[in-house]
This record gives sequence, structure tokens and C-alpha cells, in this order.
Amino acid sequence: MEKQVTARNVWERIFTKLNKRSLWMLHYCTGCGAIELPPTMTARFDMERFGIMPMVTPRQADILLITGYLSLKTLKRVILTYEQMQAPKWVVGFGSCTINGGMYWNSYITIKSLDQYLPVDLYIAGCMPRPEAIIEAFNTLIKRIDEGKADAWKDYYRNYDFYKENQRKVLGEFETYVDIKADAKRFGIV
Amino acid sequence: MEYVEEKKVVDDIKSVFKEVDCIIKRERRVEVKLPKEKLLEFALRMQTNWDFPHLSAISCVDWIDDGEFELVYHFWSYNRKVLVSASIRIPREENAHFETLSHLWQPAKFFERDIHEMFGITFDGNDDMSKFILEEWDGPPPMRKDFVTREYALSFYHFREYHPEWMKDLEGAGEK
Amino acid sequence: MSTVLWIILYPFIAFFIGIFFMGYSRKFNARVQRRIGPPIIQPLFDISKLMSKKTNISHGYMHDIAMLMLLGGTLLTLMFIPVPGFHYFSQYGDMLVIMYIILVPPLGMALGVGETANPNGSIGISRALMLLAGYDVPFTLSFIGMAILNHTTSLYKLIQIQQSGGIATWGIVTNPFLAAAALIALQGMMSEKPFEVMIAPHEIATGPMTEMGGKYLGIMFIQHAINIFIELTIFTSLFLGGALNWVELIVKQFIVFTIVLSVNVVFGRYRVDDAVKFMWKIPVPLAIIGILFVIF
Repeated sequence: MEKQVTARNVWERIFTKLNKRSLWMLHYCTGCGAIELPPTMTARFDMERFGIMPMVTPRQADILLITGYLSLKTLKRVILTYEQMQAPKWVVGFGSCTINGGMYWNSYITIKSLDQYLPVDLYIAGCMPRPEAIIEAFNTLIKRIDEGKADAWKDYYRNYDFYKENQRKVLGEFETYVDIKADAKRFGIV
Repeated sequence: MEYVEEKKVVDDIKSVFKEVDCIIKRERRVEVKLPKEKLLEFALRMQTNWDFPHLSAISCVDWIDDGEFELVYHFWSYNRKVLVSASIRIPREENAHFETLSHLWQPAKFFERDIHEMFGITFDGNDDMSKFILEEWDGPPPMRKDFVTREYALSFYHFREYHPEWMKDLEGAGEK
Repeated sequence: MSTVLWIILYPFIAFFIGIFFMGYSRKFNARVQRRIGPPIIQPLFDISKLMSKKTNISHGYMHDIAMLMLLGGTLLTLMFIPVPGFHYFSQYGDMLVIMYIILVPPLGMALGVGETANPNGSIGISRALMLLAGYDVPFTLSFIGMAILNHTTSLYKLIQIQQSGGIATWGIVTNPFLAAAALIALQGMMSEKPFEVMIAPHEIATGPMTEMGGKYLGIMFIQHAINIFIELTIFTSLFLGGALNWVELIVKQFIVFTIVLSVNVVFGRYRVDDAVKFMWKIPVPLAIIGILFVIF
């Protein structure tokens, strides 16, 4: 199905070409995979030449990197952080613990499959992945944004009931202070 | 080897508590087995008389075949450089409980909270028994020997469906 | 007619020159650390991304108004700075006006950050205002000293005096004490290390910018770019002879900015009370000596 070239489309394409060069990642190191982030940021495998800078608050960040295993205690905080970020945002699962449990697959308190709870764009395999793999993953993400395929964040607004049900099954009832359905209506995302 | 300081510690303990077993395990390690009524007096004397000001840890062992929990208290002395591990046994029942040591040492509160959420033992006198490592956990105390973590994980969590070629014969044999 | 055209074009010119300097600072920082660093027009990508966020988190209308106060104060200050081709507001007494209007943007930011009710933001903005009390004293003293020395309160007249007299009338030659004091105060005004405690990323989560995301942060970046342009122009007009054509202006700004950046990359951060004490111990006596020089 061909998209028609309207004025709005042209604007979006211009902005996508500008925006993909400046993605800011949230410097929240959830698990043991975060030890591969400092080598990626410093002189040998410089990440800043692609425009990717570490930022410290979720209000200013675009990419949420889930580095490693997620215990239930961290999962609740990660969901709170994810809902405070501003759209468009991307989640990258790092390491094999987000894919199928990894090294901790028979533990009673880590979750085994990340995309039941958050919409994920990209997975990086490895335990841990090396900095070259991380940079290749970021380049793939930039290429996907350029083609317009990286919109898993819209999935969270559309299928919020599915994610909320899964979160309630493992974590119980908790409040996030962000009204997702009202936001979706207000900003016209659905 | 000459265990000079360790023998002095053993003599100190035996001078008050006549019939407890004290072993010198190796240099700087002494193990004591106490009946559970004597622990508070022992801890008080450790702190005041025998110069052991540091409570290093409180640990717990689950002897499921004997039907008992074993609580081990580790005391360290800076001047004498000896670690004394005093262990007591309490019966393994549904609401196992014991007295607290937090009026002598404040950090004992944290160790007791840890043991409470991992093993299910309550400590009378410690008013703060909330969880801090296993928040958002509703299941049974996980460090007990009758809690099988693999079955719990397989039944509670959602695993990703993944059936590649090389796993077909393993799946036929019943693995997951 | 051309006045109106200039008033509309001037902020854009200042904005683009500021973007170039911001990108240059990141590249310089990266090269000193033996990395490659982002391209020089990187701040343009950043601002474009920030302004095109789809959701918005606002903390009340006072927060929104405060952001406009921030940008509006900076644009107002920009109008009083004379550049080659535009000096209509810089006739008479504008040095005094600049001295107090340049304090409006931080106060606007303080109002906005107070609305967000985040403790990191409150700590950050209280530190920023304390630093303001520190660097503003030597800056004001050197401003007044140069005004007394050249018997004029118009920045444009100062530029003309320095341009027609040659190097011997440049501020840095006639009164080096005031120049030294102003150079140290400039380090604080531009929020470069060692006086960067306002934006301490790993201590207080970027201070005042904690709760700002998306369009608010985009406005702050635009304000930062124009602010760099304003401060560098003030310093070159006072002490380095000003400029009567754009090429000379940009070259002089570049030299001053490189000196500021070279100090930035090698220092850590001072604590805020140490920074204020330093500002009151070293540049202020230098400025006072400079003023005494002028009077006697």
C-alpha cells in the first residue's frame, strides 16, 4: 500500500532524518550488563559520534536500555521510569536475560521474557555483548527509525490492557501516576 | 600451630558456661554450640566482658531432616583477632520465632529482617519486619529446603516459545 | 524599514552562531579526550529532536510562562548588544540596562523550576542563584570600570573609540586588571568548569533541567546558544576592541571561547561555596585595583 506524499509526510520525513542523529540514552544500569557501557562511551569505541549521549533523567531520554536480568523489584521501577519518558521512545533489550531468562532462567524472582511487560524494539544477544555489538545495534536502530519501522511505543498505548494484565500477574496492583489512556487520546496516538 | 589467643577465648567461655562444646577450627576461628536459652547472656558477656564489640553477621541453616533451624551468630574482636561463631537450634514449625538482639547491637535488625523474609522466622521484639530485598514477592519463604525454585519458576513465569531444530530430540525426552 | 528587518533577523543570526559555538565546544571536549566526537552541527539535531516530541509533560501554566520568561529575557538582552550593522538601541546608557537585564533569564528559570516540585531541581537552582551572586560582582565592577575609563555608557561608542584608536586603546591594554577579573567572571557566566556546579549530572541529575523534557528543554537549548553569543560579544566589545565587520567579530569570539574551553576541559568542579569564595577572593580585588587605577 503506497503512502501518499502529503505535506505532512514530507515534514515527518525531514524531521526523521534530523532526529535520528541525536538519540539520548537513559543511564540506568539495571543489571550486570551495564559494565559494557563505559567502554562504549569512552575513547576506544566512541559512541558520541553517532549523537548518542548518556542522560540522567527519564524526562530527557529517548532510549531505555534494559541491561541484563530484571528482578521483580527492578521491574516495577523500570515500568515507572518507562511511563515517565516522552514519546517517541525505544526500548532495547540487552543480553540474553531479556530474551529467555539467560543464566538465571530457573530463578524464582527474575522475569524471563521482556516483551510481555514492555514493548521492545531490538534485542542484542550475548552475555554480555561487546561494545562493537552495541554500536552495531544502535546503527540498526537508527536505520530502522529512518525507515519508519521502529514504532513499538505506539503498541504500548494501543494494547495497554495486555501489558497491564501481565504486569498485574507478577507484581500485583500498583499505581504509576500516569494515565496512559488519557494521554493517548490527548495526543492522538491511537 | 600455637593457638594462643584462641585458647584464651575458649577458657573465657568455659569459665562461665561449663558444659558447652567449643572447637578451635583453625587460626582465628572458634565455634561454640549453645542451648537456645543461654544466647542472650552469652551475647551480653561477649560485648561487655570479653571484648567482642562487632557483630559480623547472623546466618541461618535449614536442617529439614532434623526438623530444626540453626541460627549462627558471628562475633569478631578487633584486639584479640578471633571470630567466634555461636550457633543455636530452634524447632522448625510453622511460626518459628526467637528473641531479638537489637537492643545490644542496632544492625542486628537488618540481619533479622533478612532472615525473616528468606526463611520465615519471626523475631520477637524487633518491630520492623518489612521486606527489603524481596519486595513485590508473595510466595513462600524461598530459602527453605522444601521450596523448589525450578518448579516455581516454570509454573509462574511466562517463557518465550522457541522450538529450533536442534532441540527436537531434547523436547521429545521431556526437557523444556 | 530595515530596522524592522534587522530586529527579525538578528535573533536567527545570533542563534546560528551560538549553535556553531556549542557544537565546537563538544568537538573540542571530545578531541582533548582522544575521541572523535559528534559533528559540529550536532546541537541542531538535538534541538530538532527535542522540539518534535509527541507527548508533553507540563506542571501548570506558571511553568510554561516561566519558560517564555527565560527566552524572552535573553532576546531582550540581545537587542541591546551592538553588532556590525545593528546598533539602534545602543545609544545611551545601554551598559546599565544590560547589567540588570542579563539577570532576568536565571530568575525566570528559577520560577519554572520551583513549580516542578522536584528536590533535585530546587537544589540545582539554589546553587545556580548562589553562583550568580558570586560571579556577578566582578563582572559588574569591570563593566563600571570600563564605563568610567572611557567616559561613556554606550557600548557602541566604546567600540568606536577602540576601533579608531588602534591596539593601544583596547581595554586589555589600558587596564589589564579589569580584563583579568572579567575573564574569570566569564568562566562563571558561561557555566563552564570549574564553576559548573549548576549542571552536575551525576549528583543532582542535571539540576534545574531535571523535570524539563521535550519542548521545554528545546527552549533552554536555544536560550543557551543565544546566551553564548551575548556573553562573548560583551567581552570582545569591552576588552578586545569590538568589531566593525562580522569576520573580525567571529574570529575574536572564537579566540575568547577557546581560552574558556581550555580551562573547562582540564578542571573538575568546585563546590558552590568554594566557588563563591574564590570569586570574592581573587577577581574582586583585581577589579577594585583596576577601578582605583582608573580613578587616580
